[in-house]
Amino acid sequence: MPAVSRVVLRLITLQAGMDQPASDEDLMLRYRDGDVRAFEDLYARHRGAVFRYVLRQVGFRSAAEEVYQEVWTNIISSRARYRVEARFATFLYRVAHNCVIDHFRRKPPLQLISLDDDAEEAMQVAGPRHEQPERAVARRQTARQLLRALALLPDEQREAFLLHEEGGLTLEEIADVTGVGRETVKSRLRYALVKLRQELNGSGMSHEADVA
Amino acid sequence: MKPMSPEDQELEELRSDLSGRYRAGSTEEPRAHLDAAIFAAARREVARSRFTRNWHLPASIAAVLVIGVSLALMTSEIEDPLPPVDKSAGVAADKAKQAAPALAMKQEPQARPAPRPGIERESRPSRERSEGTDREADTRQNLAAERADSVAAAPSVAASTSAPASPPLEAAATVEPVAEQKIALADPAREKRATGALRKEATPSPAAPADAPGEWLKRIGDLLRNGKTAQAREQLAEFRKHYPDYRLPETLRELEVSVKPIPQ
Repeated sequence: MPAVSRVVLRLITLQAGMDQPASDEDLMLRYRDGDVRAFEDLYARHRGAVFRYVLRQVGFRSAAEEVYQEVWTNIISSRARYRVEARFATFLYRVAHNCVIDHFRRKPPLQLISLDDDAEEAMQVAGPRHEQPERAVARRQTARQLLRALALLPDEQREAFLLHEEGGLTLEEIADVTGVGRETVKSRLRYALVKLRQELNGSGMSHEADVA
Repeated sequence: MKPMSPEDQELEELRSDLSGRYRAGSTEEPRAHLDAAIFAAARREVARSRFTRNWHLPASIAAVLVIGVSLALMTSEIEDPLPPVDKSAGVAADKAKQAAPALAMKQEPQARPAPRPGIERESRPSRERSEGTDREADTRQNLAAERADSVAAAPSVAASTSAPASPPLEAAATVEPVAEQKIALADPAREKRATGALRKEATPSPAAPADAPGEWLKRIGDLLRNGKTAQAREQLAEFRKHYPDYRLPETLRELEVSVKPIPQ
């Protein structure tokens, strides 16, 4: 009887384990061992955030797509060497950070904000379909204001904000990715948040308040 | 959980206020063709590594086989020059040694064409001792030679056909009189002759009979006993051609007087 109960307990444990989604690290390890489906799941989790991180850093969609593809190509090619030493997100954004730096080495940024269609497309803001038209317009305007303010931030502050918001990285992880100390990251993030808030309070938020 | 410092709390308040606004307007996604290109690259990488992994094992096995076969061939080439071990010769030698254990001890220096000085010096006192009892030694040697020949005659013939150099040496070593060497060692000229004789015995001429000297002498003795003195004389003369320094038994020495000595 004890053996039967052990088997039942084991089955319950397995069932419980199956219900939990696999971690990023597990998925990457499975991909390392040849499971392409695991990579597809992993990619689906991070595709949007990584793309936005790159887009906000590079500024142009065409260039962002190029860098984005480079990021994932590097992840794929480093598959065989992958070891779980930190969170997968840290590894992923370190690769993305390096790809962005390489991009700027190849093509130094002449201007942060472009007014061509490509840049405008990058600033396109969507909202819920059921939203009232006035409210939706106000939300879109606020978001555009925030993105413009983000684009005006110094590179280090913008990167700290994006890694925190898009990547969900902690201060320590951002420090690890960018190669600076935790306190430096904290300082950069504080400056970024204060500037963004000031920018929104100055124009966007008041406009939203007017619409509301 | 670690409590947040006032600075961290202030930072968190700032972040939570802006985070919702940022997320509401941050909805850009990569295009579908980009996703497809990345998935294709991921699949290609897996397929490539599978091929690499599959290619490694057969290549390793092939390399091990090539090295193994090469080593085996090299080893066999090294072993080939050695002649095959003739068991019959070995058995004959063992039997001969068993038959005359006392002589087997003395045979070893005889088997060597040029004995080392150290060994000579060591064996000299025993030889000097035995010089006084030369006659007794002759009798013993002849008896031992007859016994050894009777045991090893047939196998030694077989061995002489399969391994040309070793069987006569074995047979000669079994019956070689020790006193002969003693004399040779005392006189340098004779020593040279004796060494030459030993070499001759070790590598008999092509005309030499397959029989061992003991067997041959036995046959001559039989002829003499049967009254075939002339035939026995001829055989003895022939024997002397092949074994000029071989000490004859007492019965054949008288016969030898009538045989014309062979010039050296």
